[in-house]
Amino acid sequence: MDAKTRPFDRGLLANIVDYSEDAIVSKDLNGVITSWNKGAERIFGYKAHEIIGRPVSILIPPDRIDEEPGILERIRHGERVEPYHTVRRRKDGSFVEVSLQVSPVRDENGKVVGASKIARDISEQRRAQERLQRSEERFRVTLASIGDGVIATDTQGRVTFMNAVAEKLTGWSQPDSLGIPLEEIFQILSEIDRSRVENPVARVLREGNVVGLGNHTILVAKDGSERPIDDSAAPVRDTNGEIIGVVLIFRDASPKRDAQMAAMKLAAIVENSDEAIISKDLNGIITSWNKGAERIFGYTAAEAIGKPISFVPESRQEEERKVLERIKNGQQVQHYETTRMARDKREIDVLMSVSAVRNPSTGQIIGASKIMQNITARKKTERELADTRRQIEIHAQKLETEVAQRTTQLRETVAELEAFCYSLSHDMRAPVRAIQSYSELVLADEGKKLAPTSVEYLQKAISAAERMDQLIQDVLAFTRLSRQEIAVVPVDVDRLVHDIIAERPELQPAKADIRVESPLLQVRGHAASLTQCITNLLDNAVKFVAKGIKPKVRVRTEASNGKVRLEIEDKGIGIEQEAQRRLFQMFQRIHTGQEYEGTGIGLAIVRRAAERMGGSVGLQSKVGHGSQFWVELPGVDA
Amino acid sequence: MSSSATLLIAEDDDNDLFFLQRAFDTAEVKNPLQIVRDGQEAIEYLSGAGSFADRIKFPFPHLFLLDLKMPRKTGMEVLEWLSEQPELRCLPVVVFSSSANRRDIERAYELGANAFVVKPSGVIERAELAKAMGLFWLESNEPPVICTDGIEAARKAGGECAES
Repeated sequence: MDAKTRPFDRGLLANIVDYSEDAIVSKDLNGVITSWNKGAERIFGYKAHEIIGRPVSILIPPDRIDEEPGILERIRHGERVEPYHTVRRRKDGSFVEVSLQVSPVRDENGKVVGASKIARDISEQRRAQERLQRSEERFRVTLASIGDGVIATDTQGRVTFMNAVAEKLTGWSQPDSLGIPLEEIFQILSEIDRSRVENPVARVLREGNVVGLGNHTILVAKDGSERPIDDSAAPVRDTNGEIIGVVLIFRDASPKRDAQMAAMKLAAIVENSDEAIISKDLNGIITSWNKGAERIFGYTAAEAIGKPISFVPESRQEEERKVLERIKNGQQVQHYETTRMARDKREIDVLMSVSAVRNPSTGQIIGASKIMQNITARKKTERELADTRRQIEIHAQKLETEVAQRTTQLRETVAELEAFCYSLSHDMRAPVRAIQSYSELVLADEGKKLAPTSVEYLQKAISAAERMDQLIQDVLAFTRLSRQEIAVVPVDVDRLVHDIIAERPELQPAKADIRVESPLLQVRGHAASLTQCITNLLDNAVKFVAKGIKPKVRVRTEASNGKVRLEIEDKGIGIEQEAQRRLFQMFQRIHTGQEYEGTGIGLAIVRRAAERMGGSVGLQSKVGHGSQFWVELPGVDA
Repeated sequence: MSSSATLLIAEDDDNDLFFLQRAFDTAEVKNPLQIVRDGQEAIEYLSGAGSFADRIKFPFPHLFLLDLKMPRKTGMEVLEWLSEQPELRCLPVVVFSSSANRRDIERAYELGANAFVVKPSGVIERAELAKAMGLFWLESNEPPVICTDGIEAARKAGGECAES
């Protein structure tokens, strides 16, 4: 009331107060509002006339009502209340954040009569600030959760922020790093010579540009461990374009580096392979060409790559087209042998293996890779071998034909021989028989009338015919032995020998002294053939003795090493060393016919028979002391 | 059997035939000897064909002495023929050969021969053989019906030999 009437409330000052954005309110020392400007109307919603004369407490929220007595107390003492943030209530009951400044109002005498309050609505300012904070928080969270390491610095290159990945890669924690120069926590070396690499932040600050680190940078972590990294750094500018800091982004390049290393190794393997390893796109344009391909085909990589080199011979074009077709369709192609043309037009045999080349990300087939092994030498050897084999086959065929021809000839010869023997036995014996028989008949019918010399001649004719007949029969026996199949079975030699002796007149005790050391051992043989052997040997044993001496013969068997040796020993005239060797051959007679009769076939038959039974024959002899002939055959127990 | 039992000899060699006849004389085998000079003639005689149709003149033999090596038809072929004649294959046959060829022996028996004899070279041995044959085949041996009563009788007898 008083205040309304005061002249200084009017005029210029009043104008300023009225148009202030801030609420400018005055109150007396009792807390009753004494003035209310337009700003106050806007902020608190009360019109001046509505609120002047009312206690200021209606603006204070219930939980802050205690503020007022303190403020009033300080005003009474003439103190100012410095601006502070508080909350006041609007007319509509909503709250408003304000920055409040309270000053004492004095009268002309300097006496404190009230207080003026300047309240500034700070809700808007506060919200803006909060927005900013939230935004900063979001950036912080974003940076923190980014997959790469992020470090931010101020313009001095000191760390202001680092995310978890950066903490992990450097080994430094954010709290330990804040305010520290970047180079202390971010030590980088050249992978190539291990020299120190300049801190990228320093470069950004110097150059003001985005800086990407060269490859081959190694980050040394706090614990000394090293890992390859890729990184880049960029300046952070404010709205005026002033640099206010630097952000450094880096990542662990080990997986990429490993993959690069692996790729390099593979490339080295491909490059150094003896085999030609090439790739083509689907149009047949060569996209890679290794050293092996250079060596084998004579084109350098520079000559081959990018060109459709026609090293596929004309005759193989169709094959090549089919193979590429299969590859395009994603089908497998088995190894196959084919030929390619070298630069010098030489044809080269290769073992080819083809596979599809796919785009690594899409899997789409974009070409074909070929591995070719030079097998020219091998093929040459194979061809030579085949030639040789063919020649051998031809030769073998010739030989077979020859053998067949000779076999036929031999068969014919054998057949002729058989026919000859057959005819020998029939046709030749008949006249011999006739000579002998007619001579005998003349002697029988007319013998008494004949002169003694005529009788003697006839007797000689008869004995000659007899010898001839024996000869024929022996030859037949010998050839029969050669031809006929014989079955070898256990033979009772003891019985065989006794039977032979009993049957033959010249072996009777009256004529010969034959001692058999019974029981003789059994052998495996052929009874008829063995009979022939023993008969011939016994005949010989009693035949070849000095005139007038009674033959003495001993027959015995002896086993050794599963074999049985049948020995026939005589005390006869013996055989000269010289003659012994040819004794078992055909027609070998070592005595004249006058002395001892014989055809010269007997021992040949013995030998042949023994051999046919799987045995052998032999003799020991001394002239004047006798001979021991033996036949050795498999024993029965063997 | 009886001294009228006929002996049929098939032999092409004059000498051998002469020695054989003489051997039978020496051995005093008095039976009639009928001679044929080759295999073909032997077959004709046995089947009573052509000039041998008269069985009174050419009676069916009690024993057949057969040489192997003969012209026209061999002794072996005669044996083959005989083995194919149901009525005739009962006839006792003694094969006379110059050699003891193993294959000949087996084949001859296979075709129904009753004995296989190698022709002796000596007069004495031959006479002994003739005597033994006379004693055994013509006296001791009981011949089949065909030899005594002929083919017709053999057929009527029910072919005990034939098809047995």
